[in-house]
Amino acid sequence: MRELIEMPNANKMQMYLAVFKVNLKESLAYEVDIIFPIILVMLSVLVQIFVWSLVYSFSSSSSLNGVTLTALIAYFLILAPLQIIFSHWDIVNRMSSGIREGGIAKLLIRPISYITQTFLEVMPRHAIFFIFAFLPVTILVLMLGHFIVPIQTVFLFSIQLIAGYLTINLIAFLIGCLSVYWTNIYGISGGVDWIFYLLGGALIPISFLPQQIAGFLMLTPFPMVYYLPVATLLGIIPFNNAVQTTLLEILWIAVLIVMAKKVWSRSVKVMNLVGV
Amino acid sequence: MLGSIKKNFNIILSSQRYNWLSFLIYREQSAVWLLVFSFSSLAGFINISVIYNISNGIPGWNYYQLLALSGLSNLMINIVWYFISPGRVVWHMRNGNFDQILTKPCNPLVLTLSRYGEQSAIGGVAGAIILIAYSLSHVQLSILPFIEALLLFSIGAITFVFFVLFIAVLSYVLFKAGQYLNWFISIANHASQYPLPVYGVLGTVLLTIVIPVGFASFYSAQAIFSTINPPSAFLIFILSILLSYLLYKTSFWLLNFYSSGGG
Repeated sequence: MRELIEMPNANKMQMYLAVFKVNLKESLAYEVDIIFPIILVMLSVLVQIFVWSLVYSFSSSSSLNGVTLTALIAYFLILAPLQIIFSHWDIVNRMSSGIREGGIAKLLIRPISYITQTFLEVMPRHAIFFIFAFLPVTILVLMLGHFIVPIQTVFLFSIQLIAGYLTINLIAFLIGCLSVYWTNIYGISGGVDWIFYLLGGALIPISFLPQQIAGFLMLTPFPMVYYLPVATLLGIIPFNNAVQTTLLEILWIAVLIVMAKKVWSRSVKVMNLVGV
Repeated sequence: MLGSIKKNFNIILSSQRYNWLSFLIYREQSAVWLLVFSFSSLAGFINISVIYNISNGIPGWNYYQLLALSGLSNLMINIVWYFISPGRVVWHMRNGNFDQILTKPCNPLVLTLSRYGEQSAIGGVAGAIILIAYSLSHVQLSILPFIEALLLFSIGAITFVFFVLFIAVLSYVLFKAGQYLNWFISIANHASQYPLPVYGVLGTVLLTIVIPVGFASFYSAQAIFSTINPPSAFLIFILSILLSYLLYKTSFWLLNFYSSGGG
């Protein structure tokens, strides 16, 4: 056991890859589970497009709060697949059932950290949506909308995507840890979903909110997940402001990592491993 | 007939009592769920407030009228969730748990509606009622159009409940799966938070007859604000009754395809 724990980095990488591959195969097994979420999320965007098109046509100006209709449609279209990828439910579901039913015990004795393992288990599903939904939709929207995106913006956008992914999953991990104390954490998880939807820019771009509220929200981790990357890519946020907010986001991630480690080490001590 | 109604009503009452007791066992979690369900009305309020804050809004509808429409739509969907979660119905059919519904000496659809709902949707009902009350307190109301709207809403909500029941059973018969049904219904509800003409003629027809989400929301709101004439409202009312009956009967017939024991 001790030998396994102290295995060389190369072997560890092989092990991580093995976990990733197994879960990738599992995620690809049911095509319906890939196609249906994409169709449904796009249907949801269609409603937004119809409503906002009418709002813009009835408005005296071609742009609302500096956002044109084309940019807004592009915003909602790019955001749609991102909502599937940046979902915290996968981690919450795994942790909750593992802790509640006691299945977590077998994961804890493995020579791989539980946190890494959990992330590696959910990542393949997200990677599939990234490749088959997010990339094609984003490229198509940028091309059809004639958006010219400078290379430094693409680079910043990539960092923001990784940061956003880490943010939502670290929050998911913290919610998952609550399973040790609560039998059912789906209510809290649903609440967090709504908070990100309302305050994270999934319902409406943050720039549409009153200035004071928008300014305050930009200091919180909520807009980092949806609004910041998409608004940066489409030029809704000036580049310099986007850089500053990204730095703040990295600070938030550091705080969340420290919190996750502390909460996890406490949770492990409380956990009885036979189920709640 | 009366005896059967009384019997079914008693079944619903006893099921509700049991559902509420099991829901309230974990008080903190119940409170969180009730709060979470009320967020849909909050989302409607924020969205519409932003639309009217930065633009001229939606033609033909003022801010409070649109808030009322959003409230009616949220009220309808939460009533639906209270009685039926289609994903749960399909799951219980799939694993054979539905057998116990069929073995009981009463209407299986009534039992389904009293067993497979979400108690926490009451939080959403409360949120929607607050939103409706707030919006209606800012507009002038007459008693007759209000009663007309109440009737349209009631029959519209029943129609949509039967529609959800119908697609749950249909989804089981066709695909033996229904994990995306709740999501689909939520999208239909999201669409009904805005006036149906926003989606064009095709969209209006689709959201009235194919997915009957407009009866309880759009047409009821039109009745409240007297933007629909009485003959049209009557026609909508009759259409809604006919559709409810058709959906109920078809759902009943589809139950014949249920394969007992799961699978």
